[in-house]
Amino acid sequence: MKKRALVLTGGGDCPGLNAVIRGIVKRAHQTKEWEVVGSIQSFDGVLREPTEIINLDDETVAGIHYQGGTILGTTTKGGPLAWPVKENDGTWSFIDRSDEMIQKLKSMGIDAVINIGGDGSQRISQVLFEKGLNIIGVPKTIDNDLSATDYTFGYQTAVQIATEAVDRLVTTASSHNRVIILEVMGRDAGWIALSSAIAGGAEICLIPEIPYEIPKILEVINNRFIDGKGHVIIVVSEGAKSKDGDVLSKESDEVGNKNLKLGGIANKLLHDLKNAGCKADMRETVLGHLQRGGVPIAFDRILATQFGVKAMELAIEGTFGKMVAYNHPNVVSVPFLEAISKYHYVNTKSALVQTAKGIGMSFGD
Amino acid sequence: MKKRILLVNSGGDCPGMNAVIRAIVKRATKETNWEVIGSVNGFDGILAEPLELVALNENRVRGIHVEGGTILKTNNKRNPFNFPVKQENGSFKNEDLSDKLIYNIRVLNFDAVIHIGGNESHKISYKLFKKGLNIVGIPKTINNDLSIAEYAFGFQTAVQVATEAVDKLVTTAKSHNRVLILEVMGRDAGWIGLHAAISGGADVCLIPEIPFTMDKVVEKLKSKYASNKRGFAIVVVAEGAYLKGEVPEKNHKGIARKIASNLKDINFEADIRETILGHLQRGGTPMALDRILATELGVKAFELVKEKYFGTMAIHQNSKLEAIDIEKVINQYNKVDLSHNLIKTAKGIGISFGD
Repeated sequence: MKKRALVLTGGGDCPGLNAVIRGIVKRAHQTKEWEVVGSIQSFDGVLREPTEIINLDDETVAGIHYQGGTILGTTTKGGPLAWPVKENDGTWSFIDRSDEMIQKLKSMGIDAVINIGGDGSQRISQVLFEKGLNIIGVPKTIDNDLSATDYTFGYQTAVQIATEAVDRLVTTASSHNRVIILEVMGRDAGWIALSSAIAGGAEICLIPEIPYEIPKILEVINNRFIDGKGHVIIVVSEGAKSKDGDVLSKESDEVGNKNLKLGGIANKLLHDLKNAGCKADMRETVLGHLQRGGVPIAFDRILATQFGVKAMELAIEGTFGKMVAYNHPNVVSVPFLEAISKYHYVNTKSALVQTAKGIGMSFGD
Repeated sequence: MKKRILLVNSGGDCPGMNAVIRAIVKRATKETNWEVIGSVNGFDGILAEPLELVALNENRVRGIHVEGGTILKTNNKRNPFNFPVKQENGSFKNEDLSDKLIYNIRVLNFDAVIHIGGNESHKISYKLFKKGLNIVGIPKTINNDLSIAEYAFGFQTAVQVATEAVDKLVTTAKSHNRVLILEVMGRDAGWIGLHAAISGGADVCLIPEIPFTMDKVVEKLKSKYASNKRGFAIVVVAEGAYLKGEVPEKNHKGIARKIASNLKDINFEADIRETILGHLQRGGTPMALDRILATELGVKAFELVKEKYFGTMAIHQNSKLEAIDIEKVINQYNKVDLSHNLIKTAKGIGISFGD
């Protein structure tokens, strides 16, 4: 009988997930000893009755590497450690179903689990590993905010999309002499904003790591307008905040989703600038989920394929409790605990920030 | 009087060159006492009579980072140490114009030269530095064949263009049960071919570092066809790839065509077509990644000039911007190392190198 690996994707989707899945399946089939199955919507596919598990053969994964999203579906809620149960009074409580799930995986003949997901997923993996599950992690964060790996797939595609948005906004802003504010992803780390601001050529970039001041932004705008003529592009991370303000967020109304919902900073900025006396015509664009969609760029497909192959190789050699990571030009593995212990924030002394300042970009500080 | 930088680019063009030019100019403009002037068409501009120089101010470089190519124009055939000079009888003779070059640069009060170029260009940079010129280099290679740099700008754009070509070839190959061969750049190093084969999902990848045999290529291609002749296969081949036992050709006359004709000679069961990507790989809008890298290098090069670190080159290494002596770079070549993780990955997903 063949050995079986179970693959699942959890957390927000990200271009390149399918390339990881394909990498795993293709690598497994090179051995002729392994087969791969997938759980639908993260661990939910295993936990549900009846289970939702699909066979991942060569046919299923052919050509999926150039599709965004994940063929396995994903979820940002619930999971084996906090499975939502509706009480009689209509409220929700959360139960730990991890022991039951590990038993179930055993009875299904699963020899290895590969969990592709963000820091939340890696934390779940660590708990399951401590309980004896043979589990391997693949990092996934579109924000590039994990310090254990040089890059995460999906990030470069998001940067490319945000950059193309800046390219487009420049031509319309300059035609109408406007200030245009582009809101991009980045809850705690401003990588996407910083990179697309440099690549697109924005005048102002506001990121969570560098709190801004409205008067400083206004000064830059005023300097760029002469007799009402000029234009300014501002790229702002959804998690940016002013020196004396807080991040704009609200609690999610989805059951089991602990992530705060961010967004609205572009609109707030626009009003704050107006109230501070900004005379220029201003508009906002919120890029939102466009940053997660579409065809992954070559860079992300290559990185994702490398991750998939490496994860399957760890399964073949029986190394568990680790997450694959990119350490240029090598793909390595690091213990889960190490992987999730440190975030990767924009260092204000880094080459990127120095470059941005070097070409005259303002961080509003 | 303002301090003056002469900006020169030479060698084949590459998406991101304009982003470098813009970054240098924007960085210089932040200082009040620096100005940047560009030499048109490599060193020709500063050697020509009359001179062909352009003042590069912020207006001139606005928005150019989005455009491929170089606003300064470039060529890969002119070497100031061996420069074609028109003689009285109308014929051309190569002469060493390096002294004239250095003289012109001094007379025009240039304080430093920034030279954007490939390996051959920086051999010139080094010789000029040895003759006393204040020069700083910026590496430019679309093939990613500079050993010391993590990435070179333009490379990711070329990989993206090649990948999108594979994406397109897949759908037509599949519909017609064909073998499609895509020839990409890479004379001595197969980086573009290797990257595009993995990201596009090719079945065979042939690169100069791994000489191939037709038998092995045919074996892989056959495995992609069912007994009813249905199936398809994509071959990505670097222009410098060659058959085991043969000597690599100097002028690379169509390896894709050669493979196609070899397959026809042995009556390979499927239809075979070839596509040669050529200069599409150098054109168009640079990817965000290349624009960022190019901007970083431009800013760094200016800092090196300002700090008078002459004879060095700005490079990106371990996520940092560094300066390295030009001398240390010019005789190294970054070929695909067979133990590289990308080779392992490619083999892991079943790509054949025809070896």
